[in-house]
Amino acid sequence: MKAPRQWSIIIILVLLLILAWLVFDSLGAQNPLRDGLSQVISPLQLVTKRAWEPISGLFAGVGRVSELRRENESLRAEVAELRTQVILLHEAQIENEDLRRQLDFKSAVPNYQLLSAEIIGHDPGNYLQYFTIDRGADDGLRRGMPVLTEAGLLGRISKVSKNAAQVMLLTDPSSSVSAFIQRSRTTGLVQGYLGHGLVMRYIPQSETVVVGDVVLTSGLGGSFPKRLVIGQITEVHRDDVEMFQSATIAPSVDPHSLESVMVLLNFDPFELPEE
Amino acid sequence: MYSDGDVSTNKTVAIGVYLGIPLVFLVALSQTALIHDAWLLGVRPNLLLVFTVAWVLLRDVRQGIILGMIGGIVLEVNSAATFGSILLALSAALGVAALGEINAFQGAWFLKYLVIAGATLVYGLVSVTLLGLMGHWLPLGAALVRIILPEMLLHLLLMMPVYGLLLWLGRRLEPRAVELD
Repeated sequence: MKAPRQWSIIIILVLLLILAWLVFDSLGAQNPLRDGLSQVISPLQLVTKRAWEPISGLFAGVGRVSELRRENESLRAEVAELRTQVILLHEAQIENEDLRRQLDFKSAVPNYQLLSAEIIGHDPGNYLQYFTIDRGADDGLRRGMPVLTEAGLLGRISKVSKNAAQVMLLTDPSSSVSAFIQRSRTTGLVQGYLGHGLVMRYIPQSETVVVGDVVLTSGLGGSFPKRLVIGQITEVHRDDVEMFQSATIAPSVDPHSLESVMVLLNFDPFELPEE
Repeated sequence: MYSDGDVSTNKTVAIGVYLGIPLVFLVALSQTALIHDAWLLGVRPNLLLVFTVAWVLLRDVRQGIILGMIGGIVLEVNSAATFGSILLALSAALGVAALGEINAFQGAWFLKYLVIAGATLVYGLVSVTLLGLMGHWLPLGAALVRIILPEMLLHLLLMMPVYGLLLWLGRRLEPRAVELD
C-alpha cells in the first residue's frame, strides 16, 4: 500500500495535468495531452464499437422481435405483390405486341375480315394435329374457315360448337391444300404427315424446285383463298423413275408456340364433306 | 403388385383412389393445356399412360382403370378423334400393365420399364387402328417409326420419376397397416 505522501503527490500531479489541460484548451492552442490520449484511445474505441455493434444489434432485435416479424411479413407480402405485378405487366406487354402485330396485319389486308381467337387447348395425342380456340358459332365461325396468323396459313376450322371451335392444322396427316411455288408458279398439293411436317406432292418432274422457294395457297378447290403463305421448301425429293417430284416444307407458322390466331370470316369455303 | 414395397392394403384402397383422382386430373389437364411442344424426337409424352401404368404396378389394375377412365375423359374433351378412342386405347394398354402383376418377373427392377414399353406399343397400335377406322388414315410404318418408338423411349425415361413419385406419395400418405393386440 502506498504511503499518504505518495498519494498526495499523485493527486497533485493529476491536478496539475488537469490545470495544464484547461490552460491549453482556454488558449485555443493545440492540446498535446488531448492529442496524445486521443491517438491511444481512438483505435481502441473503434475496435470496441465494431465488436459491440452486432451484439447491440442483437439485443435491439430481441427487443423488437414481434415488430420485426410483422415488418418482415409485410415486406414479403409486398415483394410477392410486386412480383405478381411485374409478371402481369410482362404478360400484358407480350399480349400487346401480339395484338399490335395482328392489327398491323389486319390493316395490311383490309379486304380480310379477321377475328382474333385464343388457343385454349391442344389435341393431347401425337397422331392428330388439332387445337381448340375460344370462338365458336356465336362469333360467326363456320366449318372450313381458314385460320391464320400474320406469318401465314395455319389450318382450318374442322368442328364448331357454341363458344369454341376445333382447328385442323396443315400438318395433320388428313390435311391437304392446293398450292403453288411463288418463284416458278408450279402447282402441287401440300399435305401434312406424321411428325408435324408438310410435304408438297405432285410437282411435275420438268419443273425446277429450289430450296428456299416460298409456297403459297393456289385457291384451287375453293378451300382457301389464294396467296396465303404456307411455308418454305427445305428439301427436294426427286427420283427419275417417279412421275412427280416432292418437296419438304417448313411451315411458316409454328403452331406450338402460338397463343392466339385469326379466323378469316369473309371467305366462303367450298363445302367439305362431314368427317 | 406392390413390387417396391407393400404400400397398399385392403384398408387403403379407397384412400388410394381418392388420392389418385386429383392427381390424374392434374396429369390430364397438364397434357392438354401445358404440353404443346415436342419433348424428344418430335413427340410429346402421354403422361396419363405413364401415370396409370405406374399406378397399376404399384396398386391394382381396377384402380388404374378407374383413374384411366377419369383422365381419359379429360383428354377426350380436347381430342379431335371420335369420343372413346383414347379410352379404348388406354384400356388396352392397362390390360398389358395388368399382366405385369401375374408374370414371372414379379418384383424385378426392370418390370416397370418392360410394362411401359409394352403398354406404349399397344396404346399406339390400338390408336392408329381406331383412328384409321374413323377416317383419319395413318400409315402404320410411319406411325411406328415417327410416333410409337420415340414415345416409347420418352416413356421409359419418364417411368422412373413417375413411379418413384407415386411410391413416395403412397408411403407418405398411407400409413402401413399395424396389428393391434
